[in-house]
Amino acid sequence: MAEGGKALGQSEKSYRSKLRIYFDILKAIELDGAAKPTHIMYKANLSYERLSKYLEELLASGLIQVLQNDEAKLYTLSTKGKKFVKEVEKAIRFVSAFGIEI
Amino acid sequence: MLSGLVALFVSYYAYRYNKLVTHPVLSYVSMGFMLLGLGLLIEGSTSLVVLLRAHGYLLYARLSTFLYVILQVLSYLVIAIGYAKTTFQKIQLTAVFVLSARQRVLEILRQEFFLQLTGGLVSLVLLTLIVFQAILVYSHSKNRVSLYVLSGFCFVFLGQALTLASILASSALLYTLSSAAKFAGFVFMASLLSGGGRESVGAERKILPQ
Repeated sequence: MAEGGKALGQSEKSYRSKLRIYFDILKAIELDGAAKPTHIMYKANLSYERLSKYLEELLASGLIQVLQNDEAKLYTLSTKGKKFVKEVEKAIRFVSAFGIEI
Repeated sequence: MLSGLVALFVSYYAYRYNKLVTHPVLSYVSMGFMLLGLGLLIEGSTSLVVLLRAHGYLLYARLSTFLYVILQVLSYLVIAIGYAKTTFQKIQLTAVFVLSARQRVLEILRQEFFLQLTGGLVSLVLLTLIVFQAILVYSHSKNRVSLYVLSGFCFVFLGQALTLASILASSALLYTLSSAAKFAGFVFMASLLSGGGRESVGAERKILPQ
């Protein structure tokens, strides 16, 4: 599924792969520690509808968790999510050596 | 043998990340480095067997040399095709080259000297292609990891050229230097495994909205 626009660490490219979108969302959450949906939306450069859909998928996969407080819903990375982010970072570094962009 | 192990690890990581990323080039890289790793392990074991003068070492040396040359040529061919898909996105010319190269190799495999010479020449040509493509990748990406891969392939190329020279001159010194150059090449490749050239991914603040 394609999303327009650049996001975290990407060169001039119109569309992102789904893996890249997941990574951008998870990275946005990791950078904040616990992030609100609107913050994730801006940092990952996604529309609210698309973000909601991906957040549901990431929740179902157990990569993120929800913290509900009085003010807002916050998302954090699970242990599984943190490992996944590290794995994708290594993969991006490895494949970039062969001219592949995710 | 250490170079062979590095190559096999590169192959494993290419396979592992291909399951995550799913890109055809990674399949070629994985296969190519696996063939190269196996070939290097076979070459390394030959030196050991000859050194120990184990029973039947001469026959083993001949068979393993034959295998090593074939595996080496195949591996560089596979890697070159994979790289070509990245840089040029077409393999028609490479396919023609594969067919003609295969035919040529089959005609000449009878005698060891010609096998080594031909295999060495074909490997050198393929490595030229690989180095050229690695230069293109680095000039586009400008990241440290692709520079390490470029450096690695340059050293392997140098090693291959020295191997050819050692075959022609029957020089043990040149052969030793060629092994050293190839090993240096794989030390650079090992940076892919160690996370060398570590660059922060996804945290380039300059493109994030303020």
